[in-house]
Amino acid sequence: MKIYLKRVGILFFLITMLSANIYSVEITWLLSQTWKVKDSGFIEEFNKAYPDIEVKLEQFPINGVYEQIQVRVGTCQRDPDVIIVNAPFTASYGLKGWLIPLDDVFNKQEKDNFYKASLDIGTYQGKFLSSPIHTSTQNIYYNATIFKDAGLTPPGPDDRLTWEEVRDLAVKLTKDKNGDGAVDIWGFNWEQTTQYYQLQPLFLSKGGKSIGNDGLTVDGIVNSEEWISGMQFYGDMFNKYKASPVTTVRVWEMFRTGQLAMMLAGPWNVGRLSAKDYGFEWGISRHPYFKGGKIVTPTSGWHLGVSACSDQQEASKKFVHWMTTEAGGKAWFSKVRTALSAQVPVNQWILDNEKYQKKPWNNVRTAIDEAGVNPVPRPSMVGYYEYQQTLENAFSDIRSGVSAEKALNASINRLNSELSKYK
Amino acid sequence: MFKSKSITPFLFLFPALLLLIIFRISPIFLSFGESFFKKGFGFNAKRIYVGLDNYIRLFEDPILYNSLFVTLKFCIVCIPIQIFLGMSLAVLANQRVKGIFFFRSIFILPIAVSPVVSTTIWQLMLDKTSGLINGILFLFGFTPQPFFLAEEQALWTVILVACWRGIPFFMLFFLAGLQEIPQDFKDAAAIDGANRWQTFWKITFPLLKRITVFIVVTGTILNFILLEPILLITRGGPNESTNLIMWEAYRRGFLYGDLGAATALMSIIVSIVLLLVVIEFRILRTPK
Repeated sequence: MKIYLKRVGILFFLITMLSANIYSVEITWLLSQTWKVKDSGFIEEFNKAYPDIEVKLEQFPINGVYEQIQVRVGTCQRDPDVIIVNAPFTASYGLKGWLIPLDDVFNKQEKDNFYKASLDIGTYQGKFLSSPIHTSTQNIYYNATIFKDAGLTPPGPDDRLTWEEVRDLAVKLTKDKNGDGAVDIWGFNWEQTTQYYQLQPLFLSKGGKSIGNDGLTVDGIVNSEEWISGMQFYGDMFNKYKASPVTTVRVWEMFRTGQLAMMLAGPWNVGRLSAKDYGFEWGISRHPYFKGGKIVTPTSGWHLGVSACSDQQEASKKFVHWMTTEAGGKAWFSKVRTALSAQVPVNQWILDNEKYQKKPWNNVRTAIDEAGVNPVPRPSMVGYYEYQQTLENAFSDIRSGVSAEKALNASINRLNSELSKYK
Repeated sequence: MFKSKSITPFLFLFPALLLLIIFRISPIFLSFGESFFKKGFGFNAKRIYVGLDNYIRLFEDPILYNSLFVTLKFCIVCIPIQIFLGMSLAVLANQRVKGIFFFRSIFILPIAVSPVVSTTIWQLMLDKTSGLINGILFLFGFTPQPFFLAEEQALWTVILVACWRGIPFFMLFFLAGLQEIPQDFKDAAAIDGANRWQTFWKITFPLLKRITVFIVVTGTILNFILLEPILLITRGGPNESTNLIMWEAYRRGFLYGDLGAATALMSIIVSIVLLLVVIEFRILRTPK
């Protein structure tokens, strides 16, 4: 009987040990569902440095991420602990007290490693609230096979087309191949078709401003001549020249299946296109600008923040620190996304890496170089979310055929209404 | 004090009532209370009592009136279509013919599909460039239609999606009502020489009145608070043409974090719906 009890005791002990969580802390990370983190080996890499912290992923479509943050962090729930922060939202989240300062986690050298624009936009009222994962830029990606079939020469990696040249090329490249009246190949599209981030250079290239000096005034700015003319060009690509498709099908899907000749898109596409042969030749060139206008490129990207209501703030800070310093930056680029790092040494590591010196991976070098050509971040303002949402609705209307003047003027009412609470 | 006989029904009702109070009634009052507060900005900011400020801010905003107008237009078109076609389908589904169960199953299929899934399928089918509907239109020589993307068409397309889902839902209730009408009444009418239309109009329809009142009231409530097609597809656009009142409240509360205005708007919505329901009951009540 005694031996029997002893055996049961040992068995019970072993079961308890085996079933016990090997981690001592669990943190929840809210992020975009398009980021293929699971099974990428990235979290395992983090666990080599911090074996006692388990990272639980909560992934949503990007609009869902914003809404989750509003609802859960806004009502001070204990999780998520770590959230992705769209860079210009830092000021708004900071004003609302949703993020804790990270100044004590990063030393001076680590902060100096960030691009200055990324560090600045992650800082609100002198506090470093969101630590940058990416910076970004946009390049024209072209399907060289479609160009060849149309008897046209694609732009080289150092060529910077004007928007007028892009439009003319796009019109020539748009084709109804079988003569049934339906377009089979479209000329051009913006990858994030109605997103503010991607469309801001249109009116900035014309000489416009993003927002008034107080960070709240929109009347006379959003409906200025520069905005109207830049955004009318955008609308005309869809409705007048019919060289860009109005569709819910993702731009990347159209490009990879040979239905789109050119897309203005981010550096993560270098990885996607290099990793697999899609049956066509491709290349990249520089971000366009308006003839006689300024060269402006988009910049900034996703940051990481720790929720002020998290009860695992120390572990969360360790994760944010690891991910946005050198080891995490390299792991992120090589395992998850070929988006440009917000850290200068990581991008230098990419440039020095043999893999990224050979075709087609070497296209990322053009992207890294482009990231330094007059990058203008989105406005850092407390009402950025309202600003972005309202304008993206207006951009969507313009894409659908509403005149830019009408859509932008209509957005003024909504913007004034939403931004008034910050005055 | 209480006779056990009089307490028994309440005891049976108690669990359901308790859940109703916790999950349905109390949020209305909590939300109404919240509408008099505003969340301040800054670290550890407290709620600030602002009296009627949230309501004043809403009533001074032209967006509210546009949203109310759009919702009213949507309800005025959608509810009669849903009721008329729901009743017509119910009459058809009530016929005693071979294979009627198959047709009944087909009719109620839309409510067996999750709203998110069906809305997404509609969005794909109505896509301007690669949608099935535009493909069919193209085959017949029509130009592709923008549907959700054009200011003039978007609300009508949302009405189409709402009706596609609402009609079978209401058909079920009408069908249940029709099956409760004793066959003897219809037989007696037939003996008296009434034709099918007269039987329907003089016998069936009056006996469906209680069901019709229920459907009108439910239809008003469900359509007034419709959210899925707007949340998933149009997000209030183009140019605020589908900015239904529920989306406006959702947008203010969950997207812009303005809970004070959102709860004030919810209180306004509840008041309007209550008023409409009272009016409908008064108009449609059966004279004693």
